[in-house]
Amino acid sequence: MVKPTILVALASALLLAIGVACGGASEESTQTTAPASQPQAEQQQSQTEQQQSGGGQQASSGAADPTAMAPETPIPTVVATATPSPTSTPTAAQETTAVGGSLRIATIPPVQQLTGSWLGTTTSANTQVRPFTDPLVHTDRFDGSLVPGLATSWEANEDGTQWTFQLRNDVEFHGDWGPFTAHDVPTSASFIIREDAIATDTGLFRGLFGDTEEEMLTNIVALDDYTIQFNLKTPNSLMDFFAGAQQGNLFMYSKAQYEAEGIDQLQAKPAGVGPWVFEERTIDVNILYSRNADHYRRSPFFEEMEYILIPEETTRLAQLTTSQVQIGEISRELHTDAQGSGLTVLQSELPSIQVAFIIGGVYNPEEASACLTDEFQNCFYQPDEPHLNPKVREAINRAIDREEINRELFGGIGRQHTVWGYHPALPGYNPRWTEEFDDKYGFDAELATQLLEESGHQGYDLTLLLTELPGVPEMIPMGEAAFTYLTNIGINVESEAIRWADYRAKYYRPGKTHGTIAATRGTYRPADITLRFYNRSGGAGFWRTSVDPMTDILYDRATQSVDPEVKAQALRDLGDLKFDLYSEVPIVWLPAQIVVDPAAIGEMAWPGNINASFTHTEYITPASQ
Amino acid sequence: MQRYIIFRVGQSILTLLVLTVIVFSLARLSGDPLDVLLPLEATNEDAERLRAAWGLDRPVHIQYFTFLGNALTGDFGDSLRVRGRTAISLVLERLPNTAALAGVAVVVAILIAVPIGVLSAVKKDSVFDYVGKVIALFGQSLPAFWLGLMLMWVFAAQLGWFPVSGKEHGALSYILPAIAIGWFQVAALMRLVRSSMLDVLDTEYVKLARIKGVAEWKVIWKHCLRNAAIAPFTYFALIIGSLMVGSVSIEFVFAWPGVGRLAVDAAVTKDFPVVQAVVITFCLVYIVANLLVDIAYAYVDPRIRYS
Repeated sequence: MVKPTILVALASALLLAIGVACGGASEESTQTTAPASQPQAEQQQSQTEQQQSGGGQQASSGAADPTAMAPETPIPTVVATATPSPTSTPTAAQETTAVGGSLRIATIPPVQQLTGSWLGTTTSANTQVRPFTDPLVHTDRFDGSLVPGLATSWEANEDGTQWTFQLRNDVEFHGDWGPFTAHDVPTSASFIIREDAIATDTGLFRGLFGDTEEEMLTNIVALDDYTIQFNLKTPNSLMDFFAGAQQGNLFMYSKAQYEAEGIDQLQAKPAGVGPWVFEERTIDVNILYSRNADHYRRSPFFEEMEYILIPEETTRLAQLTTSQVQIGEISRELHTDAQGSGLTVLQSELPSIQVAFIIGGVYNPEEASACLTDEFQNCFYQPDEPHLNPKVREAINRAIDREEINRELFGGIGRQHTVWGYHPALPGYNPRWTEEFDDKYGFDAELATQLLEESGHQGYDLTLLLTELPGVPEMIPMGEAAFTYLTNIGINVESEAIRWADYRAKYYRPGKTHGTIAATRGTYRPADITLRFYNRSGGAGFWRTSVDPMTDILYDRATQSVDPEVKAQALRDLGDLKFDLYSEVPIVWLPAQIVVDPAAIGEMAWPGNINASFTHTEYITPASQ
Repeated sequence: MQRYIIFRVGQSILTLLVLTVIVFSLARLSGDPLDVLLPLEATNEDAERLRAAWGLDRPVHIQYFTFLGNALTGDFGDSLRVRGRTAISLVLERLPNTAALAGVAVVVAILIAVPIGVLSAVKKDSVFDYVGKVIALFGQSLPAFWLGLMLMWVFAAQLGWFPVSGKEHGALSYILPAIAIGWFQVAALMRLVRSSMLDVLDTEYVKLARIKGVAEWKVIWKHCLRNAAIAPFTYFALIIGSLMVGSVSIEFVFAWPGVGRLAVDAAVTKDFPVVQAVVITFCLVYIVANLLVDIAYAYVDPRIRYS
């Protein structure tokens, strides 16, 4: 027989071992403040960028702000104009001294692992391609504005069908692939419409420049070695935006390398013009870059940068706490643990993600006539759809307690979101929406119930789709909260857990979103980009959420005018429609967040308005600087 | 014997054939890879263009026979997720990592299970036996991924004795994931050793050895264990296959660049060619392991004959 004392002793020893092992954490310091301030050289660079863009802010910790859901303060930005402001001399190269060492970053493995920007989304490209090569237009890391990069200046003609970019003449491709010239641009652009391309901009570029490489090469022309001209088939006011990294896939590759080695070798060891040099990649394991000591814009402080691809979040956190990496992508729910281990949560300079519910079935009545000829043989517009009634949409908006969602799910970091697609700092925003938001959208379950009764749709059947997208794991609990809110006002809600890919295939691509509501998230970008996907009836407007036939007219006016006043007015009018007719259910604007080891990282600032959790890694300074 | 081997090989080929149908069908039933891989903003035209380029617009039975014909030559097609790479090249690149981890896990399982199993039998109803039972209980009930996370948090994150993840730290990198994978097998192997040992300990020749004054350690470790090893040996050979298959969650937790993690990533992104290549490779490993065990069984135990 076993003596009880032996069992007790064994159990005690085991508990003691675990206790000793876990106890170390209690002595860790709790640091929630921002890392050390910028070094002098860095400050000068920051000032230069801020002067160019007119604004800026420092990285800050991710501590929750009790004044959450306050309206956003407008941040000045450079916008697309016919004669854009960046016509000054190129940004001076920022001299930095390498401090050696490796910058190791634990990241979520991207869905598409690529070196060719045409083989994936802008998110994938910004994470993996942007370090080693640049787009034509750079993005200021403090205010997100478009600033000179490879292109020193640019301008559009009167009707926005011709854009001309002046390029730097002092940029060399990595390796021995010679200087970067205008002749590399058409080649790089042609990759985006390759047969195997699945880039975010593939459809857009086909529409703007043609379906074939031949056609594209006639529309994107090198006027001389350092002047490139884009001739668009339809007017577009956002070509400089698409030539940047915020939305675009137009990163620069070497024409000489492509012609000498072919596309496969170009992908295996691409020569770029970025601040980091691509070294090697092991699928699902890591991506290694080395420092470009002679970059025209900024040479990194670190000798090399390595992305360590780790799917499990707890593992990424453990890598950070043991200092095996200096930066990690950690979701909000683990931020408290991270801070408890002495790590710092940093936020992007600008809001990064907008979160909302999309009300399904709100299709443009003018599409009714096109129903029979639609390729899916579906009639998008159905007159008996409850969601076509503005009172129902208002009731849904009134039923949801945004402050509670922000407090309980987002830890209070969310900021007020008034109209889906619009941010106060971007063109087309109407300050009236901020002023009237509480009156028109404020939480009022009683009023919501009454509105539903007045609409005649009390107790209608609603399918709440519980789905999520990367970057906002709270989408599912947000949907669960909405279930309660909407049930409380008398809607007969049924929930359906569905993966986003299936939601796309089953509901919104074939135009069958009638009687549904689903959470979604989008990025911080000019409103017309978001509206193009969500609110426009045809073309890329696959969501087709349109509360008024004027939507398409105003959208076309906004996107086809390079006059900033006309464009902003059209966007504002369209936003007014969306706001007054309760087009969607805007919830919050969120910053992008990243966890860093303050003992290793000094300063890190990134705009957050780019489709990746963090960018601008060349500006990261070590704590010792 | 020869006839038996031919029969078993034929059985294995038939099994693989049926398997290709199941794997192919399940992969297609899981949905359209374009829904995962295409950007949110992709148009229907983009989707149709790629569907045609990837051959996904052809009738399913045509796709299957194309897949089968190519698979016979080891060609499972190009990965949809990792462009420019064939599915089989990704699998073969990872297979050594998974096999190495499974091998270490087997060693770990044996090193823990055999001594405790023997002690539990020899010291039946003693503290060793009870400790063995507790270990068996934990081994069977603790999910491998949870155990992996706990091991990582205690021994890597807090104590710093081992690296957190990856395999770039050499031998040390293997310890925690191998324990997490092997732990589940420890329980079964230990109980098997214990029961086999109990049977052998009660035999006449063991009693005779003791009467003749053979040292006790020699009786147990040489005479008893050798004879008691047949059943565990069979099981041991089988678990090599299951250890490789069971590495899926652990490779995910420890960011181990093996086939298991490749399978998860491929399944999530509906990368059909890679999913098919992984599953068929795993099954091939399992079938071959079974076949070898059956054949080896006859050699290990001369009493066994096949007809």
